[in-house]
Amino acid sequence: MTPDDQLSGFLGEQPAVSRADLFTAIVMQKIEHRVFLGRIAAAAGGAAVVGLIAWACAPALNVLIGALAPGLTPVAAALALVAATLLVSSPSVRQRLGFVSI
Amino acid sequence: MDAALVRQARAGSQVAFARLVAIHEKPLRGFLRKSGWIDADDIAQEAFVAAWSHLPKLREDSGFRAWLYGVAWKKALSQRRGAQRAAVRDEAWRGEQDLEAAAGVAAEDRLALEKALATLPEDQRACVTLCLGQAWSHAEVSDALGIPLGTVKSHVTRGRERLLAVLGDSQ
Repeated sequence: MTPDDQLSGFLGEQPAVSRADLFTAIVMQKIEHRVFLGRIAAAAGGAAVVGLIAWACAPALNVLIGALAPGLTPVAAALALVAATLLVSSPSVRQRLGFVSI
Repeated sequence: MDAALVRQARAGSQVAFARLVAIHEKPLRGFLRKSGWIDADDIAQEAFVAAWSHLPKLREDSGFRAWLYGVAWKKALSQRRGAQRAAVRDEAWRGEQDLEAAAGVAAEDRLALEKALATLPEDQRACVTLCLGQAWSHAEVSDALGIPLGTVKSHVTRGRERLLAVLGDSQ
């Protein structure tokens, strides 16, 4: 083995213990965290914009809701009942409420 | 192979990026360790996370490796300039970070080389490690580390001479 070969061998040494899976998992966890924070920030921005628009349009929306509310109340009540039924009947909720044995 | 994975990662595939991490983590950590960074694993992790965030800025999909090493190099330099990080590592952790000793290099030569490598300026150490240890071309190193091509060549020539001299002395 020539000195150059020895030198390249020494300089090309890599970590002895392969921790590729663990290392990759840590990196991907950090990336997912960053992606999640990005989504939260985007959602918060969107919500702020919608809120601002709703606030700006409040006078018109008040009139509109005042006109529509009496007619829509029964429909809203029915929808709320359906939503509550679906929610309670979902397996995960029933399990948490103790209606289903694990 | 990198190019296809980079394309998929650009499109948002975390699975593809995880494969890129698995491919490059070991040589990158080896490079950082050889270049003298104790927190090589932390720097490598931060470099991968930064690479994911800045993937749209990568000009050519095939140039991922050089670009990644450049990101890691900048991270390493900025870390040194910044506040002192916790440097205490227990022995087990140090053991895990040990490099696999190259076959054909005697223990005393290895020790002498390590000492000599530590005396080289960090730029020179990085150039020597990538060119002689990982068989990168001078142009690739120049591109990745942002060092002029002529400087890379002279770093490698001088670094090689100094390291070979040590190797000769120890024999």
